[in-house]
Amino acid sequence: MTQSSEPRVPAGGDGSPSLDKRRFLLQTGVAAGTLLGAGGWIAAIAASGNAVAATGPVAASVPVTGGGAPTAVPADTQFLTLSQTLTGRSPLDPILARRYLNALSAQDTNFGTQFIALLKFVALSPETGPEVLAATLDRQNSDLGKVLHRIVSAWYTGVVGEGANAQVIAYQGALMFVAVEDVVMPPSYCRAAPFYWTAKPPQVTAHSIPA
Amino acid sequence: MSENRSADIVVIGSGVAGALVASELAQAGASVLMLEAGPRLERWRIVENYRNLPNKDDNQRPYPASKHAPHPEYGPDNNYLVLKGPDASSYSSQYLRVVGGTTWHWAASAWRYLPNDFHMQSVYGVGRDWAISYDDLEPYYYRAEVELGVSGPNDGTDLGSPRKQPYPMDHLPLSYIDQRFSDVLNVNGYKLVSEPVARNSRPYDARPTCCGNNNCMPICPIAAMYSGIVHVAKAERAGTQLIADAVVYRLEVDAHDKIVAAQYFDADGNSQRVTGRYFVLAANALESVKILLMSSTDKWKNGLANSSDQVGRNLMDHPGTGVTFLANETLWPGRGPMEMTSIVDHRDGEFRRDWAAKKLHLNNQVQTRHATLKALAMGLTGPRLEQEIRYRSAHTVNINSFHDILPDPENRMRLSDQKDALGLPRPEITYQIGDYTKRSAVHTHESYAQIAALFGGTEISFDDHFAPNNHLMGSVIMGRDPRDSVVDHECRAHDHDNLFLATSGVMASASSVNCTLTIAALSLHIADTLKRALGKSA
Repeated sequence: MTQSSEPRVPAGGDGSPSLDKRRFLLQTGVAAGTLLGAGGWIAAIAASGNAVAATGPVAASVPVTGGGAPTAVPADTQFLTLSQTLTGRSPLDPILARRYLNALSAQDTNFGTQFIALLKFVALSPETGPEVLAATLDRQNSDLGKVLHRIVSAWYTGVVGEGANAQVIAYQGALMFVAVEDVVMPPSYCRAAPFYWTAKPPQVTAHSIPA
Repeated sequence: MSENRSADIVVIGSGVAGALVASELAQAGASVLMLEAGPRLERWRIVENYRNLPNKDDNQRPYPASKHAPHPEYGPDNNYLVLKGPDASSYSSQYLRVVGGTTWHWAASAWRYLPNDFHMQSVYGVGRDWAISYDDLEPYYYRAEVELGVSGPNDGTDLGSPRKQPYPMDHLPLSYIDQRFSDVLNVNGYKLVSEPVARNSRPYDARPTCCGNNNCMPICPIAAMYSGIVHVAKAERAGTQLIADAVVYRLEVDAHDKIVAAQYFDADGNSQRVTGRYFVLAANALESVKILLMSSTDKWKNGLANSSDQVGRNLMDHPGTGVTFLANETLWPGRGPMEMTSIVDHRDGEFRRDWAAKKLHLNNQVQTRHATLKALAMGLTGPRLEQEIRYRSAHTVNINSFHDILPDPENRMRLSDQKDALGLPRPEITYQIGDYTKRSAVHTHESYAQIAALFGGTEISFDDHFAPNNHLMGSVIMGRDPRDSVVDHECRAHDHDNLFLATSGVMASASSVNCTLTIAALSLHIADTLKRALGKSA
């Protein structure tokens, strides 16, 4: 499914991100406090909301390595990698990742800080699957756990925010539709010939029990 | 501008009723003006609105209300309808003020009423009798089925409404979940049938076969499902002049009680006036009442067509309840159109002396989104999240119902003191659901429990609050006696012989099925009456 078939976000949505326009690099090897500082900086940008989006929202670059030569990875790439870890689905769409990041940042002034903290938590838990990661975080730091679930929720529903603030980032690209795409389609997108529905669909027998 | 300001027929409203009348009359050679309060909307735009909508459950939202002709919105509530009474929330109805009307979004269920529905007082001693019988309407039911394009069970299934011709199209083959429900319920004392629908099972009337977009509500992307816009287009091709954004606020009446003109506000708020020989008020059961009441004069102090004081009274709907559960087998609702079958064993019988008839229907709406919200709320991530989404999507069953309700003069619509942007009064509705309906709903609840048990149901969730089903009836009620009814057997106002009401408001009983096919049949009946009046062959 190509990005061009994604629904257009109405005016006042996330606009047309131009992430390469402004880049801010941070030196690597900084302490956690500085990392949070970087998050605070994202938050400051995010706090100005649509005005930022209108002028091309920012990709903060945050450090990921513990030391050595200065490197920086754009925040949207970080977010993509993080999202793949949290959902267990790879590869995810980088354009959607950028749009989710922008929407999450715009809707919550603390998101930048939390994002950095999540990155750090995940970096300390290599080779751990998404379920154990989530369960561990829910137990150790429920506030940060909520951020994890907010990111997962965005990817699966295609929507960021609630009520009047809800914003559609993806429709047929939402992961909930991907999870069932062998059986049912996103409403309004018919994919098969008439009467396909008479066939017996695949069996699903197992419930999930919360980890 | 070369707009005609006068016509043989002035039709107010462009939904299925008004569009059918306009199409028939224009094709017969009459001059027709059609006034629609709301704007034109393109199908592609409605589809895009839907896809960009965060709350996909809101069927009104893809049709944004216009400022000059608002319709009810509930997410957030625009408070267009002023709702009062013990069951106010059960009349929080949805309808659309746009070109084409409310059948842009509907289940497309195209049922005929039963013969006894027309004689509730005579047969069962409750409610009221219509001024026509099923036999009078039967030929018009068939014509309506041909016009709308109805597919139905041509296999001899008896739906209780005698037919002289087969359905124009055979019914669509059932989805797997509908097949399973048919197999299980029909050997356990229920009567589950494939329901007649205005949805193409083959190419019909230059529209394609349904391919199962599962999006009948709020919009069929490919027009395999009928909507009033089909006959708007036919009416315009036949020469009808449609004026959109024309908010009628007064009908003028002369000294001989004839309607002579309609006054409306145009898109710029200027008052305009059109004249005609015959007027067809087809602005749905509430907006039509509004126009009649706003048109009061010294002689017609209670509003036009209202010497009986019944205009706005006897409001009915089909109060609905529901149940949702997880079946112990894989069913995967959501493959095919949104609704295919109904349970019809309590549509008629001696019980109707004491409690309401009803129809239950299996929801074949795709459950992905609700399943996902539930699975996310459980705190799941990763493979377990997807497993749970699949499980709930495959096992969720949702059944809903329509209950009959008796016409009660105290259930009524008046003009509110609250005004819309043009300064016109909003509809104020007082509504109470009586014991006749409530007794039936208790029985429905028991049926839900039995059905859930037949499918090993878990997480059974009953929704016993009466939901509105947007079938607005009774407000300009039909009857033989001008002292207690608004229109006669021809849907002609008793008080004004050149005024016809083409709306479900004329219906004198609610029955237990969607009212659109009956609206269509009555509208074709009106069209024939008008053709004869104009000397055109009917």
